Amino acid sequence: MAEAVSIHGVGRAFPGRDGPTPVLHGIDLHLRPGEFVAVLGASGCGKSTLLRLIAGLDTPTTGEITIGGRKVSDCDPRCAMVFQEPRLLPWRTVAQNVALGARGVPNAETPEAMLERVGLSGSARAWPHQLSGGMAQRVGLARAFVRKPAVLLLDEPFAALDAFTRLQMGDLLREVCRDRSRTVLLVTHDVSEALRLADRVVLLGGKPAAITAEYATAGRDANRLRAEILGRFGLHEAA
Amino acid sequence: MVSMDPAIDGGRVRQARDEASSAPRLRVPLGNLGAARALLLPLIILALWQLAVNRGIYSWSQLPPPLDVIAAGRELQSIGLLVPNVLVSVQRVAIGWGVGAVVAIVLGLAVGFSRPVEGLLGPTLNALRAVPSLAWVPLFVLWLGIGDTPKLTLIALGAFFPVYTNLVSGVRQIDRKLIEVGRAYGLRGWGLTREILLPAAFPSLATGLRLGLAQAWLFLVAAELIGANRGLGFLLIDGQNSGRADIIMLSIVLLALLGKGTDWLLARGERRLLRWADTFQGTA
Repeated sequence: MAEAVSIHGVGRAFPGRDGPTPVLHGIDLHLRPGEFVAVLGASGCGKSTLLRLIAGLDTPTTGEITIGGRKVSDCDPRCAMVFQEPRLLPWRTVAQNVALGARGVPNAETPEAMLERVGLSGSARAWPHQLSGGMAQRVGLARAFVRKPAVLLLDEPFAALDAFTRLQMGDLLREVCRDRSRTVLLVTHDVSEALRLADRVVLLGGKPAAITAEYATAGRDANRLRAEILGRFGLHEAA
Repeated sequence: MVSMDPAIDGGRVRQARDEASSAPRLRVPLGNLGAARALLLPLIILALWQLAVNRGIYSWSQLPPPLDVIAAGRELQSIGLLVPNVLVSVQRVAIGWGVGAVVAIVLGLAVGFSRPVEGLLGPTLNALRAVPSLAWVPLFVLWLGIGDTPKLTLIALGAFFPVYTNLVSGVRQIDRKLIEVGRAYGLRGWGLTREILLPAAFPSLATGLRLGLAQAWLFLVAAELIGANRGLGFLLIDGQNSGRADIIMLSIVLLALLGKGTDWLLARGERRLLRWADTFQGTA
C-alpha cells in the first residue's frame, strides 16, 4: 500500500574545507499516499541528496522525514530506489538482479512476472554486460517494482537514455503507477517528462537548495505550464 | 524483444566479420596446435636435457638422463616410498593453504570493509608481512616442536599474505555504488558480505588464492627441507645426502607437476565463477 511521505524542515550540510557546506535547507514537502510528485532542478542542486535522505541512505542534518507517520532511520524497507545508472550487480543474471529487489519482501511479485511486464522475459538468464543501456535500466526498474514498494524513489532514471527509449520508459512507469498503489517521487531535470508523468511538480533551487515553487498539473495546459516553469529557470522558448 | 538487443546480436555479426577479414592472411601455425602448444616448451627442455647427457657435459651423478629419473620413480614406488611421500606433501599443502586462506579471507574482508579494523590490524599485519617468512622457522620449531604443526603453520603463513593483501585491495576497489545498491535493498552485515563484497572482490581474491597456493608449495619444501622424515622435501634432502641426482630430479619434476596441477584446478574454478565478467581474454 502507498504511504504518505512528510519532509519537515529538512536540511543537509556536508563537511567541506571551510566548515560545513549546506546543500539543502528548510525543505518542507508532503506527499499524499499514491501521489506522483516530480522534483525539478538544475544539475547538482541537491535533488539526489533529497532522495537519498528519504530512502534512508543518508541522514538529514536538521529536520525530520517520516513515511506513513514513522520516522525514516537507516535504509527504509518501504522504499525502493532506482538510480541514475542501472547499477546492476554484474555477477548476477538479469533474473537474479530482479530477485534482489524481492529479497525479504513477503508479497513481492516473482522476478519472472516482473521481467515480463518490462518486456525482458527473453533476457532473464543474460548477464548484465550483455544488455543495452535501455534494457539495463528496465531491469533496474523491474528490481524496484518487484518489491511493490510503498514509496518509489526515482533518481533521474531516464537521464542516460536516448529520447525514444526515454519515452517508452516513461509510459512503462506511468502504466505501473496507474493503480495509485505507491507514492512516487521522481527527480529529473526534464520539464516535459515531469509534466507528463507527475500530479505535482516541485521546483528546487538556490544555494543551499530550497523549494522555490509548486505546480499542480491537473487541469492545466501542459505547454503554458512548461513555459512558466522554464521562465522560472530564466529560460524562454522561441514561440 | 530479442531483436532489440544489439549487444548480443552485434557480437555475433562482428565475430563473423573478423573471421572473414582474416581469412586471406597467413595464420601463425601456433594457433592450430591448440592445447598441445603448452607441451612445446617442456619437450624442447627434455630434448636439451637428453642432449646434455649424451654430450657428457655433466657426469651421471650430476645429471642423469630423463629415463633414469622415471626409473628412480619406479624404484621408489617398488619399496613403497613414492606415493606416500607425495600424498603427505599434498596433504600438508592442502591443510596449510586452506587454513591460511580461510584466516586471510576473514581478516581481509574485515580490514577491507572497516576502516577502524584496518587501523587496528593493518599496520601490524603489514609489519609481519615484512618479516621474511623463513625467519619464523626457528621460533616455530621452538614453540611447536618438530612434528607437523610447525610445518603446517609455516605453509599457512606463506599462503596467508597473498590472499590477505589481494583481498583487501580487491574490497577497496569495489564500486561504492554497488555497495549502496545492496544497502538500499536491505543487505547488512553477513548478507552484504556474501551478496556484494565477496563476489565483487572475487577476481582479486582468486588471484590471491592462486598466488597463495604457489607460496604454499614453496613453504612446503622449505619446511620439509628443514626437518622431515616424509614428503617431497624429505626426498630432496635424502637424494642430496645419498648422492642420488635422479631422486632429486624426480622430486623437482613431481613438484612442478603437482604445483601446475593444483593451480590448474583453481584456475578452472576461477573461470567457472567468473563467467559473468566482461574482461579481456587475450587475443586468439
